Amino acid sequence: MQTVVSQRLNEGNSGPVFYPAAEITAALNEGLRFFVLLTLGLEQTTSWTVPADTTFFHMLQVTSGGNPVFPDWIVCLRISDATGAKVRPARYDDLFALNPQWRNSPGSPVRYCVRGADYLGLYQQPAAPAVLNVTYARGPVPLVSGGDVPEIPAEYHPSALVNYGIYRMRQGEGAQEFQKALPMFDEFLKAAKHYAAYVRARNIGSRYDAVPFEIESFDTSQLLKLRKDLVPTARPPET
Amino acid sequence: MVDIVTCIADIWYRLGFLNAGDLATGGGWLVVAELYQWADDAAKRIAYNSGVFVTSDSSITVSPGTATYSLPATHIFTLSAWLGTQPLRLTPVRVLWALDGRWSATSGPSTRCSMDAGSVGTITLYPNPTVGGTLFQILEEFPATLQVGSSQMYLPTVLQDFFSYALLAGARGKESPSAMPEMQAHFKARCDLYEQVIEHLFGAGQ
Repeated sequence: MQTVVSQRLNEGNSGPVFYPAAEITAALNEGLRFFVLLTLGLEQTTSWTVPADTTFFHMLQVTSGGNPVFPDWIVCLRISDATGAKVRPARYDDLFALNPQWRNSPGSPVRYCVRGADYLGLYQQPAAPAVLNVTYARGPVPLVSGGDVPEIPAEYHPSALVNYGIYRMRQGEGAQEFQKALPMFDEFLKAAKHYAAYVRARNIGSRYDAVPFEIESFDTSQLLKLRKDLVPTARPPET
Repeated sequence: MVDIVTCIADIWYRLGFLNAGDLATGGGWLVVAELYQWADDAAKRIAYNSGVFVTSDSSITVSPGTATYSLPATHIFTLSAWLGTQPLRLTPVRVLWALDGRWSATSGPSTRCSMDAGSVGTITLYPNPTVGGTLFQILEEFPATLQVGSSQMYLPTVLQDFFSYALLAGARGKESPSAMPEMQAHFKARCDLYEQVIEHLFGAGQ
């Protein structure tokens, strides 16, 4: 894929000169991360042993044997216990209404509450370590070499990633040169909208607790064209 | 985990530097400390607008007879509070006046707390506590100042590029020979899109 981006930037067969291969890889990785953030298209279910008598957790800091359990965490989609029963999402107000002493209530977890990026509270707290299965939207594995295949579906590789790679490589140039690459960013957003709609329908059908952002709700008018009053123009000929 | 060091390594090419070392040793129009300032501004912006940094705090020890306590320096808003095992109901001061015309002089085991009864940056317990203990709060906060040597935040890695675009917007918007106002506007719009996604996924701030 790096080669495709390089070719479309007219680097030819002799290899990249103006657009370094490492920067193209970085551009593709950025596009991959952004695509996954917009679509929540990658998910993972991880078995998590919850320590006893503990209510609150920073999911990005949960470790097992010194290794992070959720290093690529984005957002929680579902939690279920070892029997498969769903641990339902709740707000703090709901938990106070259920039980004013919810913070120190021993029992099997039946509700969870996430605030902020990764702060998760459990109600109730198991008296002994208990296993929960956490399904979460995760970030992608970075591309390293030219042969690496992005984790998103192949149909979006050219429309999303290659276009994003070219758009991102042109950011350093600015002005009219960059303006020419903006339709490629539009193609990227269209691909993300398409896949996000699929993931949204799928997540709703699966009764997941989070859905992707609706890209349609964002005003892209400032994003997909440069402000004409700011683009440098040629000095008018002197008369 | 988001590390601003990674973001800086990701933007030197787009800012026209020869390599990361060229940026670090001073390209003349930009110094690395400025990049950290823009990153810090962006972190504080999403902390206030989206409440992404939520944590618990038990640093305040309540003493009988003292109702008002200073909040942690990084505090933005308290989401929930307990005095020992007693939940405290967040209550605006106007409701305290409606409940009790002598609320500030009423003593007893505290059942409520107010963020606006005292001065800004304090929490006030009602009734004035006769029983002390640890004040446990779940709160929104902003992270420690981002600077060289303190560049990491516990955020999903996919948000790394939000900070990269905040740095690019700052650098291209700065008055300098390398200013690109049209690119600054685009990078700012990219940050706006990221912020809306962040708010959608992690909730609005207070």
